[in-house]
Amino acid sequence: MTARAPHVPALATVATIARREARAALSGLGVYVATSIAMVAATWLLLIDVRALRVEGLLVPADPYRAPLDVALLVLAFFFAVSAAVSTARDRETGTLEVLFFGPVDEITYCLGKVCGLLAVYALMMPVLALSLAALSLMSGLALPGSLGASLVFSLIPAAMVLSLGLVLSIGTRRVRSAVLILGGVALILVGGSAAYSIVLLVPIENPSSPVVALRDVLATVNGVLRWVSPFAYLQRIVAEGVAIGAWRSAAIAAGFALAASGAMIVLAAQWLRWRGVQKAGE
Amino acid sequence: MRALRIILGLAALLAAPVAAAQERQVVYWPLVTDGIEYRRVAYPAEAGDITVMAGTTVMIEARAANVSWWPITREYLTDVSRSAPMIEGTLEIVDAQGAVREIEPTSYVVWHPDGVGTGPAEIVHGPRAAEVHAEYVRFGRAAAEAARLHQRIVAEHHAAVEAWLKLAAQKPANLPPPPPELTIAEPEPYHAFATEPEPAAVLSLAPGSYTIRLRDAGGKVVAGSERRLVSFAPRASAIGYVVRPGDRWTQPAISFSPKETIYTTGRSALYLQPVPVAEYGAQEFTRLFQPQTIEKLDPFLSIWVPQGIDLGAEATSELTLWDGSDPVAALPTRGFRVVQRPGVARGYVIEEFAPAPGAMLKPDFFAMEIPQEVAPTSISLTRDAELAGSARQLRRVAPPADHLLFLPALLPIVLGMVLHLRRRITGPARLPGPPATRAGSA
Repeated sequence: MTARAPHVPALATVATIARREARAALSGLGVYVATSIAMVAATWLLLIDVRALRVEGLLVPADPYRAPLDVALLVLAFFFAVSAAVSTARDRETGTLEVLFFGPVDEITYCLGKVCGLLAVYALMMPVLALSLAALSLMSGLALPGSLGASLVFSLIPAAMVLSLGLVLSIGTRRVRSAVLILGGVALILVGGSAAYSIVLLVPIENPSSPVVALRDVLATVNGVLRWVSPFAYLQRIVAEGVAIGAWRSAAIAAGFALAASGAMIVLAAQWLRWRGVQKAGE
Repeated sequence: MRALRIILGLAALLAAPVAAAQERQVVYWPLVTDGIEYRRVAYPAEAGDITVMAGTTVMIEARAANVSWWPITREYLTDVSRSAPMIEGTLEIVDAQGAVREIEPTSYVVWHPDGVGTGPAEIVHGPRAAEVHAEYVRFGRAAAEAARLHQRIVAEHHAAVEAWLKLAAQKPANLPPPPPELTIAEPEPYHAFATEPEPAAVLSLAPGSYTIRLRDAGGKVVAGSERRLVSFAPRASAIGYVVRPGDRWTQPAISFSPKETIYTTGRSALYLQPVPVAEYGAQEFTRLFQPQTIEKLDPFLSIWVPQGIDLGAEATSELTLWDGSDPVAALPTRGFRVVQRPGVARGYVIEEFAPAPGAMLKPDFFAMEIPQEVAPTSISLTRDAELAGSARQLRRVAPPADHLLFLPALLPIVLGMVLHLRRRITGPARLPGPPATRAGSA
């Protein structure tokens, strides 16, 4: 049974939880290491164009930073999803959740606070990422795109969706390890489905009765569903396939859906928490 | 796990290909162009709106053909190879305002004056079509006859030389003189080509949406012939460049979009060939030759396409080199030849080449050369004034070793460690303690 606290403005409670969450994330080294790993991935992809320029002596790339930025944001978003999952599971594991709910906290303020806090840290990492990319641009000689700022800002929307996913998946778990494993499995399915479709498209088809045709069509349907369901797909649709190339209509539609999905997942997480209760694991 | 199996099974059912049943329907089979080449594109009813480029000559004809689903490419294919007769009738076009225009079929040929695949094709229609085709047949036959005659003369000469060599091998007392060297020039090959005259509705449309349908001889609309037609125009025009590096002249880089930057390491001269380009909506342009494409592109997306006009030696514009906002040089178009280096050294040099009047040797290409020692920051094409969309950033870069490029990735960790150490030195932030109780308060 959840203790009901005296009425306190909900926004203030959300802000307090968000501040607590942000401070905890920023005080550790994890978020900085994750940003560095994201930059390593981005640099590794940029090296493709750098090496091509070195070999050919001439290069006219459409946008050398499109794929590197996409991967960097994906790595960062996944880290924050894991952070949300770990943080929520740890609160339950250590009994903090129970203590919080003796205060002026209810399920929706708790979930909102978690997401807002980590989203604020994600937003704070954007200038750090931009600075690193600027240094990379200076060293490599490949100019940053004019849409970089817009891409980083708009990436907050799919990042909120990824965070919400991490939150939802960890609400029902008892242990931190379970939360991470579940999140990893779901992420593998969401990303793996699209990757499998891309791989099957490369397989040559000799005749219409080939089983590859059926497999391709099934994976096409799965990929079509994933593009509307997976937060990671929204990151690509809003940033790499949207803002970065000027496809504003697609980006706007995807952003609208991502915002709605984030809200729905936060509400779902809150409802699940209410149903599940705030007792410590094992009680 | 069970839920996953159910979902995959349902997905397989939904995605199961429809049985390949054939359906006979009215299929439009227009000959459309992207400004460079002409192609036939089949439009069964499932293919959606007919897409053409505004201002281009398009030939529209309709056939009664079998259409079936092809699961490999996920499109509806039309069988126009057998028993797909052309549907006779007048093409009626209704524009967005409701104005109706009737177009009777007329004879047309596709005329390639420089040969198929080299240079743009022309459409000749009406009475002139038969004349062009007849002229092509006449010139083609004459050229074939001249070539055949020349081959016969060459063969006869070869036979005479061989006979003389056999005789010479016998070392006769009175060896006749050898056959004289053949000095007859090979006749010029005839590259031009014209298709057979065929009837179709020939038209050129302004940008917009139209409705088309066929009316038979009795004035009735042919069932299934009503379709929507979309004619799209370019959004903008600019100047693109084909950039050939001096040390890899057969592997040029292409810059059609004005937003692109040209990166170079400066290890060789650059040869730039300007090309007029136009910007089209990506979805419309893709549908021009692939109306059944499964790609759904954003309407904001665009694609830059060359207009197929070779400026060549007639170009009167100059390439202006800029250093910041200061012009440093203006380069005209010149002819260049690629000369192979003799001997084991191999390789080649690119030399400027101005052919003498009437000379057989021609330049390999025409371009504007940016010498290796010149490093402009941008370029643009000028003819009295700068041509719109011709400016390009030109960046000479010298990327460091691969491992050094990973140094910026350390910035976030360094920042984190600095903040972490600062926190440890200054101590954790203390929460304000409870307010001190006032003396005398209860």
